[in-house]
Amino acid sequence: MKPFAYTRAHTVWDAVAAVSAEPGARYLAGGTEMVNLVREGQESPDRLVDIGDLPLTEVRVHGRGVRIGALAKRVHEHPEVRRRLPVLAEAGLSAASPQVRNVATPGGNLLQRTRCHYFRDVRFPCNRREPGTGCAALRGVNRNNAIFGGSEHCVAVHPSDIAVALTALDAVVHTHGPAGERVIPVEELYRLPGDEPNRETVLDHGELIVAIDVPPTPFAARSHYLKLRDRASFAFALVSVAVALDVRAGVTHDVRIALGGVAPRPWRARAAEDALRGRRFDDDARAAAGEAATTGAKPLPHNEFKVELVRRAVVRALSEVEGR
Amino acid sequence: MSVGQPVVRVEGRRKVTGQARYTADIAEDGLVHAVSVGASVASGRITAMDTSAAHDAGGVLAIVTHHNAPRTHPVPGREVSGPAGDTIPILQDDRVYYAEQPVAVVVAHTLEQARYAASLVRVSYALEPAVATMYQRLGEAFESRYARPVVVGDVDSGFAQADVVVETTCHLQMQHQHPMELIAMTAHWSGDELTVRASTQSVGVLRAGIAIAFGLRPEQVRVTSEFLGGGFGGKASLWWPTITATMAARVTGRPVRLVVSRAQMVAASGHRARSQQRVRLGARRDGRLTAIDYDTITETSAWYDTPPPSITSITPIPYRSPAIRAIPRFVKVNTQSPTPMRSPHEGQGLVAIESAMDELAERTGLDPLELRRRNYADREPWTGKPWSSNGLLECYDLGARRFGWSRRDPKPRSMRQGGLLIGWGMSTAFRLAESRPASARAVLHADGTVLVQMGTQDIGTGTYTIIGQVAADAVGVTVDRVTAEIADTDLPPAPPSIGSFTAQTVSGTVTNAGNALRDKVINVAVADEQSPLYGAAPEQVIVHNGRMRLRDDPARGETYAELLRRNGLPAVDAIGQHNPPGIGEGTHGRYAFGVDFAEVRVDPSLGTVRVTRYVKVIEAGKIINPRTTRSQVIGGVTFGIGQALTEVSEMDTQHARIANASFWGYHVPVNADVPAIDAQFVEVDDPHVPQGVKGLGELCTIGAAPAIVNAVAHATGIRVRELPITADKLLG
Repeated sequence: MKPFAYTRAHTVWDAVAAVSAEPGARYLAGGTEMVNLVREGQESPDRLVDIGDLPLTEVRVHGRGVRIGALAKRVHEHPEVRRRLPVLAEAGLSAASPQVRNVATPGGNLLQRTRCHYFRDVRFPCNRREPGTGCAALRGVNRNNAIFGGSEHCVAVHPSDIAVALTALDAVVHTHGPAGERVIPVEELYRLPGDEPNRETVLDHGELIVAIDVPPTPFAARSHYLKLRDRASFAFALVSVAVALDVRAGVTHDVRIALGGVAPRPWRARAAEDALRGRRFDDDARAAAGEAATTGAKPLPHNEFKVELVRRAVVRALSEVEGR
Repeated sequence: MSVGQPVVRVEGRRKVTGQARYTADIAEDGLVHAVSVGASVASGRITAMDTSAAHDAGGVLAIVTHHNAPRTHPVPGREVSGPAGDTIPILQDDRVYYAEQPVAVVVAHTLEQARYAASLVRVSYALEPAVATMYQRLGEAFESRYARPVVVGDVDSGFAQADVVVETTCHLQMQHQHPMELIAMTAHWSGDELTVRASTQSVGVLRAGIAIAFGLRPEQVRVTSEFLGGGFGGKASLWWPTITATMAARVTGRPVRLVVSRAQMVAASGHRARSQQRVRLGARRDGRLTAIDYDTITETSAWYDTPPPSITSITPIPYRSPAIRAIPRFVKVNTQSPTPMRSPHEGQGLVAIESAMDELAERTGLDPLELRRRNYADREPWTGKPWSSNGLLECYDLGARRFGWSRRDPKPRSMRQGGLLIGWGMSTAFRLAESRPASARAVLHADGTVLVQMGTQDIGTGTYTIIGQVAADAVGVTVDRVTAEIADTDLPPAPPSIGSFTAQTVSGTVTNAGNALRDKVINVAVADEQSPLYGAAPEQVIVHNGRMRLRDDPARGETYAELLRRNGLPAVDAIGQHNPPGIGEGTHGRYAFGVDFAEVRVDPSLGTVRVTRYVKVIEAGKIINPRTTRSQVIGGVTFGIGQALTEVSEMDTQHARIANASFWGYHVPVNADVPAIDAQFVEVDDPHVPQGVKGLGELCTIGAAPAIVNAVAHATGIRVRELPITADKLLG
């Protein structure tokens, strides 16, 4: 671990100014991710700016939906979140372990780094971590890697569960940055790797997520998160599915389907949504949606099973949400 | 009697309240920290090293490389009476044999300084081709003089008599022990005397190995280890953390602590090697075996001319057959050397054998349990020796009853609940129940308390507690009067805590020490004119609750404490020796037995497997402590669940490095993966083993993976032959 400076910020603008001023500065929130990255060498900051004191911890319901502070803890336990946004509550509960959830933050969760083995073990080449060194996953152990959205330079998967749920809820993040404030849809927060896998998000250096806004939608209340993984708990998704559904008189009026564990960002399965919208919500439609969800999949040697798993998981998630 | 009682683990409260001090917790004056730099390649030579940036980093005291390391002598694994550890020279030359082999050790005032400086060491290599897995070289598989084939009868004629032949080939994954407690060492030289605190399963093996390596007499080396947070075979030998910590302490003249990182755990000791195991069974229509043909190919490290002697990798066959042929072979790969992991043979072999038995059950239309009963071996199958005792059939009966096995529908995919498939599977478990020579000292103090000193270890299984129980009975006091001092080479020597040896070794040794002490004190009493026992025949004196009295006249007697105080004796002590026959020697086959019954629920669409019910019955002779034994069963089954469903060290074949060398990628089971486990015991009297006690540590885990594999096959109709059984293997 390289020695670094540590600063505690007291206002959002202090924090933004401190990180913006120094290319080697990074934010520290819950620390469940950044501390590991610093210790293991994927990050070697010159300065950590601790934002733990900032007043961004509230979950508030208002006319325009639910606003979640970037530092709110255990959002999945909030009664209004559980009632209005079941997919988010389920995704939050499925993430990590109780100990991690006690200190982790929504903002940090959205910006956690990939769990690709080759990013995490700094002894391997990785374009995302060290541009130009190559992607060891392409010809390595790539069972956990992407089937959508990868490139010849990177096939990493974004590991966040709540990002998948938030994508299905049309949520946006509010940021404060050196250039001012802006609003970014969660889905658009992440860049696909292309030939610059090291640029993971659209955020500028120093730009800080301060809140997540979930708008009121007719599909949020009937939503569900299905997570498939290699053990019963405390593991990242092999495949996950967030579904949110508005069925009127047996016909799908509107729907959102987002996939996790399969792409460098939450993967909106628009073809699957199209297969449902305007049709009777029945077994045939769900099967068609499952099939459509695999459109464009490009599996790697070890993860062909994910294509089939996506197909089945989408059908299952849609079936499970039907009864709600 | 204290033996047989569910005595609470004596150090349990200290452990759960954080007061127990593990190796890495213990501070010393002037302690400094060492961090190893591992090779980034798996095979080659070091061509250049640049340590200047590391030297210039803050707080660095020394950087030890092959250029300046103290010279060491080779340590042949077999000479330290434990499993072979690192037998290649550490920091002695420029050769690299496996990824993460240490190429430098950085010593600094703080751990953070050492870590940072370690990241600044630059090493260049001349790469040589590396063999990542045996599948690249199966054609080069060789036989070893350390792993003789077993041949009984004539297999060809056995198969000629068979009505049914089944053959199965299982691919058993590479796993790492990954105990909770990282491997940790503190080395401290004073002059030419060395003290090492170690997280080790064998203080004796470390002492012997260090003495050889550093050219010392064993008496110059003291090794201690108060508590262990698990070992599972991975802490039983001399591996490089001990060597490098000792070097770092020598070079700096300071006490040095070295704690390997979780990522380094895949190279800081051995592992369970990948193994391909083929089993061919011939049987009559009624299921009786006529032939067993069994061969294995197991990875070993690239630098051995033979496999490490601990990796012989054929499992003794637990069934009767007129013909058995078992041939172990090996392929050299560029990994750290393999080492035992709960257990070295059965831990993998039973998966293959018990899979084949279930396939035979299907082919013959027999219930899997009935098939095993019909092939019950009434003698040790490969020697013909009688068993010292064998409660296997009682285990089958009790387990089947508790599990409800008779309600099993034999047809795969026939048992369902909702959308889930239910599968029931079982496995026989059996494992050597032996011990090794040891000695112990028992000390009676004038206050009536007893101290037992023995150089064994408590690897987390309850050794402190059972020593107290055994000593209490042997001396004739209550268990609360006894304390144990262990895991110190200054104490009477004991074997490594491996091979399920410890409980039997402790029972035999401590009983002898305790009885010797009791007899010594009785002799003092009967010779003491002031004692009520004066003049009595010693064999007429018995001891209960610390009071000696005549067998036939309970009123005539006195307490130990009264006798010692009156005679001005602060303490009396005695040594007990334990000298069992060699492993596998003697007139009887000495084994512990068990059976596992597992229920799984499988989501056939998503491939998800959950173990939902579990019954394990063990027969390990006399159970010393049902409470700690039950814990062992729970832990052992959990270990097997990991092997069956979640754990695998994944080798990157391009780099010959393990790709998931930490807990972000290596899945040990969590609580949610483990159901309530019904742990049951069948107790038998065994006059041929010390105190009737058989070890059980490995027995508790070895049947679990095969039972789960068989349950999944029953649930789904898919027999997975490559572990672990992850969802992708069940999508069909």
